[in-house]
This record gives sequence, structure tokens and C-alpha cells, in this order.
Amino acid sequence: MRGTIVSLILILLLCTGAGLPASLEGDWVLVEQHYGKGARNILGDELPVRLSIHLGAGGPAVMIRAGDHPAASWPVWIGPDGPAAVTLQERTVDPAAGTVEARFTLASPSDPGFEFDVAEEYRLTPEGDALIGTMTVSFRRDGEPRGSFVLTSRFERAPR
Amino acid sequence: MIRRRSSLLALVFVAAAVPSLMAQSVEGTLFEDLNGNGIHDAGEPALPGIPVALYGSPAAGGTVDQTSLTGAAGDYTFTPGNGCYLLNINPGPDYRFSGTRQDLYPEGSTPFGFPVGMPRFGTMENGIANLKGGALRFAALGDSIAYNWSSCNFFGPYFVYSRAVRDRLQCVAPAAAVSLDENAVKGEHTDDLLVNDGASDHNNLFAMIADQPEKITISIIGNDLLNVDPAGAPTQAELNRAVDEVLDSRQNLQETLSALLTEVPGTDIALNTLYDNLTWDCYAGTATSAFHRTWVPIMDQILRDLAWGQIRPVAVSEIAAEFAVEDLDGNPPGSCTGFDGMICRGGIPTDNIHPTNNGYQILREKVWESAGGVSLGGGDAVGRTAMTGVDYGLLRRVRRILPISFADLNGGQSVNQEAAFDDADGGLTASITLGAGQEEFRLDGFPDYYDEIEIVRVIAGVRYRTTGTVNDDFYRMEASLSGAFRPPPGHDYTPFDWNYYTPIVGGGGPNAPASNSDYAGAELLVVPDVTSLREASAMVTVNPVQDAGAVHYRWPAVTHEDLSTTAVRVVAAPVAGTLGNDNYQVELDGAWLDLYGSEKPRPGEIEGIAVSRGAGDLILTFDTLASADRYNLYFGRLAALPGYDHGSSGPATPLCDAGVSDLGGGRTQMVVGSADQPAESAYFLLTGHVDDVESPAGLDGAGVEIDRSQSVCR
Repeated sequence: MRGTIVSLILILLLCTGAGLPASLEGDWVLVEQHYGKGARNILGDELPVRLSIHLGAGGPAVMIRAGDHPAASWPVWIGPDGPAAVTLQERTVDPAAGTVEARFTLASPSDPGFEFDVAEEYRLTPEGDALIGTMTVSFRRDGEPRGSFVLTSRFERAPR
Repeated sequence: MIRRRSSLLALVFVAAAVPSLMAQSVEGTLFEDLNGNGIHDAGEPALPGIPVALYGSPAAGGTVDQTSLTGAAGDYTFTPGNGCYLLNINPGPDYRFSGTRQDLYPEGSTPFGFPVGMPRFGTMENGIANLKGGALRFAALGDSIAYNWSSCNFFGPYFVYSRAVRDRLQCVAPAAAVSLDENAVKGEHTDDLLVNDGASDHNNLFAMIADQPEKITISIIGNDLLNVDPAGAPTQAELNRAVDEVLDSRQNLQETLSALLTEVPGTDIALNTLYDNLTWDCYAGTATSAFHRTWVPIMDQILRDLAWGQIRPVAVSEIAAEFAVEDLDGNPPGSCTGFDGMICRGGIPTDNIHPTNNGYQILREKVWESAGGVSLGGGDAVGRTAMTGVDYGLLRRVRRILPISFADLNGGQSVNQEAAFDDADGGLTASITLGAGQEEFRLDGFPDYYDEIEIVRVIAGVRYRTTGTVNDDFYRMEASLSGAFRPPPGHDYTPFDWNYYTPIVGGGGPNAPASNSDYAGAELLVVPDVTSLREASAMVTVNPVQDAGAVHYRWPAVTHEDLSTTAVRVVAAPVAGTLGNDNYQVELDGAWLDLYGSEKPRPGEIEGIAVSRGAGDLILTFDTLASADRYNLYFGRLAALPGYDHGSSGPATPLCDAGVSDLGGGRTQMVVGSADQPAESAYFLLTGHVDDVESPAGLDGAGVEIDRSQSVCR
């Protein structure tokens, strides 16, 4: 009788996912993107984005894939022709805090003097089912600030 | 046989090519735009004798600098040869360019080809003169659109359409120093135009006043809504917050444009309408936004009206009409009537807002056209060697009307108030003390009786200066058709009920909108202390309507009834949290409403009046007024003569649309029963209405028409 009850509890826990540790590990699909605090989800279905985080013994590995483009090490800028080279300044994956953060810069190859600072910060939700955060793109021209925009994003755990 | 046929074909091609090569011309018509839609509709009269100028550089060398008067049919033609040119019209002070056409393509068509689309021409008031003067500094202000940003064009080049317009201006005048200031800043709002960022950021009014550019283009307003535009079906609270931002943007842009025009006197300004991918359903499977569908067309009309109402012409680069037409009329999905596929989709970061590079080429063409730019031959985007139908509609200022009454409200104090009734009194001013709270000086009593005027548009204007020093307790000037100026507390906006006031002087400022006062650095006034008389004006508009079954809004004209309740005010606008202790005066020289449109003929006076009595009745017989649809009888007090007080203090009520009978032989009879007669000796006046225009009531002893304001049977 007692064994039956324990089994039932275990089954319930497995079905709800409760009790599983919240972890960055896994595949995440971008499901929402908003400009700033805007209420409207601007994400289209033209270029599905998937973020894969692996917390191996050799250190965390984070890959990103957009549409049919090859997967690339995160962070990366993906333009119409695929991933573009960035100058990585900082990348932090903190499994204990449930955060991934990166800062990088790009320079325009076709319009000298234009540069871009990009900062991405995502945090695991307490439920462990989503990563939410922001991508801030700041513009500089000849070293002077020339505006910025913020995208607020939500990734959800990809179905296994 | 085959050889002969080839020769014949070759001959045909040569014959067809000769006129085209010979043409290399630009031609069009100037016309009176009686409905103000920018299109030469049937019945709209041609305007002969208006100067049209063409200036530029033929590809073959030399300079073309020609001015001609429009012909009897309002027509003009230049044959300058292939090259780069600017067109300029100079209609004089009585006319204004009615505005860049904003009509849409026939369904399913793009009749003029990518990227030029529908030609939507404007003109620069000073462009030719500045180029002849040897220098034209061009400043591109605005947001990411002006920046030429998109996720599809992340690596640039940027400012592409502005650089192209710069290059074309340079082509017009190769010897001139033409430069471009790439000032736009990604993500900025209309509020940011009113923030002095110092030397590092010239995307604002203060930098423009310092730089004094000869040409300014502005693409802005989209970001004002970025954080407040509701998703899905908006709640009323969300809608109210978003509309607050729309109205704040209107204030900011009014202050921007009006300040630029007086503080950068040699400049020409062009304003982009808002290109928005969520307004139109031109992409199968892509959700659009109910809010954008509803409000972006309103915002675009606000932009056009802002441009039109200024003291000097502001051109409109008609982007919105060019890109796409909504697909709400039952036609198959995808049957949009503008260009398709011009939005950058996807990308990381996601875009879904900005144009593709192709889309930016369309912007380039619209900005060039709004400057009156004409490229013939190789410089044209589609290689045109001749342009026809470069038409300009004009609207005539029919009358300037002035207020006749004033009020000091909310503790306002003013002296010499009646000096503000007359804008041509040599600079005499009403002196209004503000700066300590919510004081207000209000002018109203604008005449509503010029019923022969068919109003198309109305501009409210003020001329003023200040004395003392304005620190942080600013002032605004506004017009309101209803005199209410603001909606009642708790008002819920709808697309058909939001337009309560027209800003003339003063931006939204740091404490506006109250629901989202997020721009603490925004200035209320670009130039608060005005040492010499300054004019500012704005177009006064009503709420749009949407006729049953219609897809698009209709914008009714201001009516004479609206004029009767219209007020213009100077009102204190203290910044929240400041002391309210400034000591300054606004010296108001005048406030006016300019009525643009046309005039119907006024009927003549009623003649041959004879009076008799019969069985207590007063019997009037008079010559029938041709086509009269009603007659009015007014009674006035004899004691008032030689003044006239019928209609206001008369001893009996006017008989509006009094009953009459046709006596035949060109005579008409009116019988006034005893109950309608005055109980004392009185004078009477008889008028008639033809096509809703009342005839004069007669002349006074000095031969001047008796005051029309007394004739109240409208």
C-alpha cells in the first residue's frame, strides 16, 4: 500500500515536471520579441531561432541557429547572409544564477565610422521553463553615441 | 520577305524613338484645388499666369534657369534636355500649394514602376535660390528610417536615401557646395527633437538653429508609439495612453516645425509620413495591428496637416501612400496596391519594421520628389526622359477673420486686450501676464456669417513677443474649434473623438503626456523669450469620420458653425515641480483664422420693397430674388439707428425662412401676422438666401454694407 502511494507521487512529479532542477541546460526556442516595453510580439515565423546550452565538464557551450543557417557559437550577429563576425568582449554563463550574458561589438565594413555595441542578457525564470532578457544594440558613429534600441525576448524550452 | 519585315520594324522603332528623345521635357498644370486633395479633378479651374521655375544642369552641359507663367489652361512645359533639375512654383501670398497627392494606386497595380511609384511632387521654397547662392547644407534629422537602418542592412551603408538626394542636389548645381549632415539618431522620438544634446548630437532644434542648414528632412514619430502601442484588441486604458502619445507628438512636431521656420529662416523642410508595416495587411499570414490600422492613418493625416498649417510651406514626403494600401476591402489577400515585399522580415535581431534596401529606394524617390526634384535621362531611377502630369494644386486664402471678444480666465491678467483683435494695427499688443499658475487669456467671437465661403482648410495664427524672462513657467498657444481645448476628465478616446485642440506654440514638454511623462529633458519652448514679433500658425482640423462601408477615413472641413465656437488662447504652462514664480508678459499682436477655399457668388439685395397693412397683418411685397430658397425678415429698434441692432436686440424675433407667396410677374409677398410684429415702431430688413448664401441687408447711410453679423438667420 505504502509502495503504491510512493509510486503515485513519483508519477505525478514526473508528469508535472515538478522537482526537476531549473537548469540552463537544453534547447531553447525564441517565441517572443518586443521592441522595448512594447506589448506587441514582433517575432515572425520567417527565421526560427534556437539557442542550445550545454553545461559540460569542459565548460559551458552555447550555440545559436537561425532558420537554415548553420549553427554558430553564441553570441553572434546573424544577417541576411548568415552569421557575421563579432568582436567578443565578454561572455558569461552562470549555471548557478541561471544567467547567460554577452557583450560584443561590430563595425560596419561598408560605412566606415559606424560601430555597434551589443549586449545580451537572459535569465532563467523561476519555473525553469523560459529564458527572458534583453538585447540592447547601441549605435556609435566616429565614437559618438547615435542612439540605441532594446529588444525584449523570451525563449521557451524546446520540446524534446 | 523576312529582310523586308525587319526593315519595317526598324523603321517603326526609329520613328517611335525620335519623339521620346526630342521630348526631354517636364510639364504639368497648376489648378485651383477646390477639395484640397492634390489631384486635378474635373471642374477644378486652371490657374493661368502663375510663375513656375526650373533650374538645373543638363547632361549636355550648361545651366537651365527658366521661369515661365502658366498658360490659359494652367499649363507649363519646360524642355531642358536630360539632366538634374528643381521645379519651383511661386503662387504669391494669396495661394498655398494644396499638398502632395496621397491618392492610392488602382487596386492590384503599380502603374509607375519600381522604385518611383506614383509621382508625388512638392517644392522647396528656397532651394533654387540657395543653390544659386552657392551653398546648400542639408540636414537629415530623425530616427532609424532617416538612418536607413534595417536588420537586412545591418552593415550599411547608411543614410543612403539622404545621400542620394544630396547627390542629386549637387547634380542640379555642380558648382555649389552641397553637404549632408547625417544627424538622425536611432530610436529617437519627437520629444528628442526638443532636447539640446550639446555638440555630439545634432538631431534637435537647438543644433539646427546653430547650424542654419538650407534643407532639413525629418523622419520621426514612429518611436513615440513604440512602447505604448497596444497588442491585439486594445483596452480603452491602453488606447487612451497611446492617444496621449499621439497628441503629445503632434505638439512636439508643431513646436519643431514652427520654430525651425522662424529660427532657421532660409531653410526648406520636408516631413516624411509614417511608413508602418502593421497598418496594412499586405503580407499573407502576417498579423497586423488593430491599433496601427486604426491610428496610423490618423497620425499620417496629422503629419500632413502639421506641414500644411505652418507660416511657410513645409513639404511632405509621401511615404505612407506609396508603400501599401490596406487590403480590407474584400479583395483577395495579397492584392495590395502598393509595392510588396519592402519590409525587412526576420533577421537577428528581429526587424519586421524597417524597409529593405528596395524599400529605402522608394523613400529616396519620394524625398526627391517632395523637393520638386526632376531627373531626366540617366539620372532618373527608371530612365525617364520626359515627365508629364507634374501638377500642383493650389488653395486660395479667401478671408482672414479676427476675434471680437476676450476673456481672462483662471486668474489671468491682461491689459490692452482689444489690440489683439487686429493683426494689422502697427504692432499694438495685448499684454498678458502669465507665469504663476494656470492663467489664460482667451480670444473668440470669430465671425461665422461669411456663408459664401466654402471652407476647405483653416489655419490659426498668432503674432507675439514677450517681455521679462521666461525661466520654467512656460506658455502655450492653442486653438480649439469647440472652445473646450481638452476633453472632459476621464474621456475615452476613439478615432472619431480625440481632436480637441490645435497646438500652435509649445511642445508637449517634460510633463506631457500626463499618462507617460517620460521625457524629462524635453523642452516646452524652443525659444521662450521672443524679443521681436514672431508668427506661428497651425492647421485647425476636426475629427475624422468613416462613412458606412468605407475603408478609409474622411476628413470633413471646418464649418461656419465651428467658427462660431472657436477660441484661441494663450495659457500658462508651468513645468511640474517648479515654483511658478516667473515674471513675464506675452505681448499678443494678433490672432486670426485664415479661411482657405472658394467663394460662391453672393446674391444681390432684395429690391422693390413695398409695405402695406391689412386686417392687422403687415404685408411686404418685393422683387423676387432669382433662385432664392428662403427669405428672412429682421426687426430692429429705431432708437438704435444709425446703428443696427436687429438680430441681437431687436424688438421682435427675426423671421427666418419666413413664409412667402409668389405673386407672379417677378413679385413675391410676405405676410407678417400681428403676433410676429414688434410692439413698437421699428425698422425692418429683408434678405434672401440663394444656395445658402444670404443677400446683403442693405447699405447704411455711409454706403457701407450693414453689419452682416446682425443677420443671424443662417
